[in-house]
Amino acid sequence: MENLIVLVNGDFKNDKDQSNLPPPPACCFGFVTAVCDKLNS
Amino acid sequence: MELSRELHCFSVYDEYFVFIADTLNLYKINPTIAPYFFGKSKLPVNLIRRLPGDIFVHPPKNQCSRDNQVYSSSNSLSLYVTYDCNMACSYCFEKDYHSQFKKRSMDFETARKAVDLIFRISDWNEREEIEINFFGGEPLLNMKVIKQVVEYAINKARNKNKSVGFTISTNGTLLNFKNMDFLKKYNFGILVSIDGPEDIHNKHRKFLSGSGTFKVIMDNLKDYKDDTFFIRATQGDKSISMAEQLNYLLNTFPAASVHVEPLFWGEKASCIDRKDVEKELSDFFKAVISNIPKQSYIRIRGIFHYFSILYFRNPSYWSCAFGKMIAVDPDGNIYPCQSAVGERKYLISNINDDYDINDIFLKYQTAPVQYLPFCKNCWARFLCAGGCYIAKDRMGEEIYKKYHCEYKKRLIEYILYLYWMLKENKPSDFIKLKEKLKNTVHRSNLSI
Repeated sequence: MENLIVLVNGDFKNDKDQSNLPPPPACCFGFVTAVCDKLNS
Repeated sequence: MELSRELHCFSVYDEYFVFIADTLNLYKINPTIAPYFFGKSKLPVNLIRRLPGDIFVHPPKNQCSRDNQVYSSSNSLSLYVTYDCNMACSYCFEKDYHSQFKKRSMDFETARKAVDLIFRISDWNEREEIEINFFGGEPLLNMKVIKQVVEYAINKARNKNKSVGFTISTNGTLLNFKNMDFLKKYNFGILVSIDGPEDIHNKHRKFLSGSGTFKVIMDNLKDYKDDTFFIRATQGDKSISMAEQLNYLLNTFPAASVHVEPLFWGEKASCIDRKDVEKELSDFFKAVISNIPKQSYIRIRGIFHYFSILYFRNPSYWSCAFGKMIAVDPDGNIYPCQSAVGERKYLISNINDDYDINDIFLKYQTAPVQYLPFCKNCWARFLCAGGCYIAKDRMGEEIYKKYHCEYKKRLIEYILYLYWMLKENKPSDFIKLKEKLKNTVHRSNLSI
């Protein structure tokens, strides 16, 4: 079964309850993320 | 008991995948077992438990509550500093919704009250970072107020021990040296709309006189080939593909982030026919993949957003910023997002009225995506989170579903493929991507 079905996105261990984190930005312009990039650089 | 109702099996470029909606787990499957999954919407519990990777089902959140209001609210203020514009684009929504306000601009007193409000909101939701976006019309036509707002907001942030960042959405025609100098000094994120090569751009994006704007914009930007810009292209014309637009933008702006969006504005105005979606997306993602070696990281915004959800498996519960941010027009009217400005039915309050912050976010509070009748059974719900509220409202849900949802779901399938392809075939690029995601997502979680 391991060879037939492989988990692709298993790198990050999601061992915390993420439900209380604010959501990732999903602005229709996708702009907020770009701005965050800039603030972060 | 069913752990997941929404199993989704799909194929991209002859590779086969299974995606589990509730866990955000993506599986690459051998083509020999694909027939077992295709057409099935449920997996038996015993098989789910045998799948590699942790199994979790996201805890339900209350449909509407004050906690959700605070949790989903952002400290994002969109200042509509003017309705005036020096251009007349063929597909501009402004002429449909704002023609009665033509040329009206915001004064500093109104802007100051709006800034005060966003700081009060940041106290209310206990966040430290504030974002102010200048929007319009063409916001650079009211540069005087922009400068006053920047100075006022920076001083206010300093006094309250908070941080403030600025963005501007501009057509690029007024980005002369003097204006650029100011925007760069204050580290603005600058969104410029460029639709591609000169002939395509000029066909739709014209000055009021009717002449094309391409040369003026490119002349303004020629000295700024760094990461200052976020370039947005609208595919408003069938004579060019999204892939061609992407190639053009990535090659012309070697450091900028880019975004290509097809025009969806009602059935008749839809640029991509349903039959064209597959070819458009197939060509587009071939262009994405062919450009990866030329980039320091993937600079295509829509893709990056989905990658962050996939990597952290941190679901997106709320769709766009509608009802979670505030937009203020030149008269001080408060709206739930910049796309709603000018439409009376969306009006929340006025900056001069006596209002309660709770009321601002209560009026348009939407339930998390898993409770929305329109989306709750969709396999892509925690990735898409419901899409644009305004577009759905204007187009009507049926048309939205027929055109926009079908496009979006296939787009997401290609993005899921791309995630696998990068990890499998381009491990060094995937490592760079992971570092970028780690730096970006935790920061962005704080700001919206």
